[in-house]
Amino acid sequence: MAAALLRRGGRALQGFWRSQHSKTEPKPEALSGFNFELTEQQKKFQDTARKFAREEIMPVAAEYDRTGEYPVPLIKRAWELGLMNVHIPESCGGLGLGSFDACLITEELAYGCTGLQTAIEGNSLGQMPVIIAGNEQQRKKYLGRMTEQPLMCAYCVTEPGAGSDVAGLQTRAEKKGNEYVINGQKMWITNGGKANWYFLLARTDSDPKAPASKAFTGFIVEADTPGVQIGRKEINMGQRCSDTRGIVFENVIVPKENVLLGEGAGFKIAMGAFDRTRPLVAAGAVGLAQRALDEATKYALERKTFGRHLVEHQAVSFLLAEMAMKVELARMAYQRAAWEVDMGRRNTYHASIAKAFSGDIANQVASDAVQIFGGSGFNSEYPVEKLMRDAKIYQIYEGTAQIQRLIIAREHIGKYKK
Amino acid sequence: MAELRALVGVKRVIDYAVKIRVKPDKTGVVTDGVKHSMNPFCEIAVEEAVRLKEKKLVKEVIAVSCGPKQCQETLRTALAMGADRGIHVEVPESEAERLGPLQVSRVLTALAQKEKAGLVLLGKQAIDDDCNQTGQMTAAMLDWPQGTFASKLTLEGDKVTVEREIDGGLETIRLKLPAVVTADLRLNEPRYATLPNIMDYEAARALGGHESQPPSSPVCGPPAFACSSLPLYLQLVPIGTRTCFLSSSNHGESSTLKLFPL
Repeated sequence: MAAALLRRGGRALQGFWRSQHSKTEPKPEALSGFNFELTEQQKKFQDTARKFAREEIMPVAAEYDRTGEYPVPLIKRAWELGLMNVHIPESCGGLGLGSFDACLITEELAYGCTGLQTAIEGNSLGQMPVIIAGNEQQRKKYLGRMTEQPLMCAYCVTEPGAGSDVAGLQTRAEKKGNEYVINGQKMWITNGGKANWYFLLARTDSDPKAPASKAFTGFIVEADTPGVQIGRKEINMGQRCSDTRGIVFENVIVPKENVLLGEGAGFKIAMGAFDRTRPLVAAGAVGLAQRALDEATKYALERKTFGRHLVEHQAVSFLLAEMAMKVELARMAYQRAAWEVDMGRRNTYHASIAKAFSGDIANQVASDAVQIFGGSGFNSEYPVEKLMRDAKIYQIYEGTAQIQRLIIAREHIGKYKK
Repeated sequence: MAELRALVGVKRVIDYAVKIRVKPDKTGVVTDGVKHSMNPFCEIAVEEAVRLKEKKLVKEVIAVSCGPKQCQETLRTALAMGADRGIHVEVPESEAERLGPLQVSRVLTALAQKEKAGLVLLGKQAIDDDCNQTGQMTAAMLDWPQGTFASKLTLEGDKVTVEREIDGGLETIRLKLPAVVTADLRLNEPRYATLPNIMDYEAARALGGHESQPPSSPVCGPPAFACSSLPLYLQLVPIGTRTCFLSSSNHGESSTLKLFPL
């Protein structure tokens, strides 16, 4: 029936469907329940972040990647626009945004340059333990100063000998009167060389049999404390403008006022911070993937081969279709994870899914983008090789792809066990 | 602090980055569901007005937009950029297509006189019709001097020095206020709405907004800069071939002007 209609009045039918499409007015108000619409405020946040990324980050990103120089002017600008430190509560002079709003901003910044986005994200991660577990004085002191000047902070947990295995941390903190003396070595610390203060996780319980949930303590350490030795800037594969360093703590004295919550509470705080920042990392990966998709599509619309544009070849258009599928799904995954934690619910399952999936697809999409560019994709004059190098770390930091799978399996199977 | 009031016209147009598509019936361009934003030259005009206010050369910046209710979006952007008040001259959707520079300049003329504006700042042209007429016509109707294609603006007392970009190069003229100036590309770099500004503005809007009202609901400025209440007035304004009247109503902090065909 439909086929006959199409044959007879094909044009008319096409016109009918098209007119139906253009007639539908997007409903402005959300119905209760599922809603994919952003609020006015969220759209405006996104617009500001997008404008900043397209107009200020993108023109200079390749140069920062080449030199590895820390993008101080961009960070200052992001701070001025309010795009940094978005989680800091209003009582400390911040915006007090939830994870969802922060994710929108992060995706837009990552579209411009993930190196810069990671530097900014390093701040959010370092601040998160203080935001969730700090007392009034700690928050006013350490979060307050971040809103007064464009300062950086860092999250110091990983060590040369322990990354995924947080329970294997060796950095020791010994209580001596009203102070703690910290000895140990941290590695791969984002913003390590630029931070004003660190969130540090150290072992306070010397009993090797003590459970991880009781053996560690979270400290706030000022970066200029004597004994803090900052290592050289590491030259990485991607996100090269981000500052990654090893830091040695040699008899670093920290007052007991800088202990978060109390002795032994460190592990829970450190993991709690991840629940809030994991969606952000996923959002960053999606921003990168979106950029790769956009660059590849634009190129495929221009480049011709065998007498036709690349997009007209099914092999290429299928590649683009799969890239598009991955980006859309990854976006929905992080949005769900961010929304869950903003609702006040435990979002571990969704956050891990979002991070695992988006890290993986970012790598696939970036690699496919290089493929679509062909020989040019391999070349540093074109933007996609940077994306492919930048993407790899998303499968590693903030919980490796393998750790995420462990978490997802545990959460998933746990649902069936009862 | 100066007594000068700046009236800034802002137009809601299809966003510059959108790929325009012609409607299947060839009667125009697809606008449904297409991203719209403030005309870039109007943004530059708003930015200039706000900068003058920050330099304390202008007392109040009033943004005006003519068109259907979606224009309130554009006015909100102007308010978030720093304008004090927004006036939405509501034109029903069916009439909006016939709204052109002649009609808009008549409205701006009436408003400039009503609001006792000393400076009318407009974008040099809109990016959808590229008419480049509204500023010039408004100046003529008001019988005020005009400085169009301004790439530099300096206010000194009751005079304004305008550096214009013209075909032959740059021309500098000095106008006695009140005057009409139209903004060109290099006049300034419009500010972003920073996140704290957006939040403050949205919070104020939530406090003082009349969201639940019917389409003719007014545009609000943040309560902190509450509008003075407008007296009811009636003025005959010829619009196209029909004469309409401009009426204003006072809803507390906000104002709506409606064009009623006679």
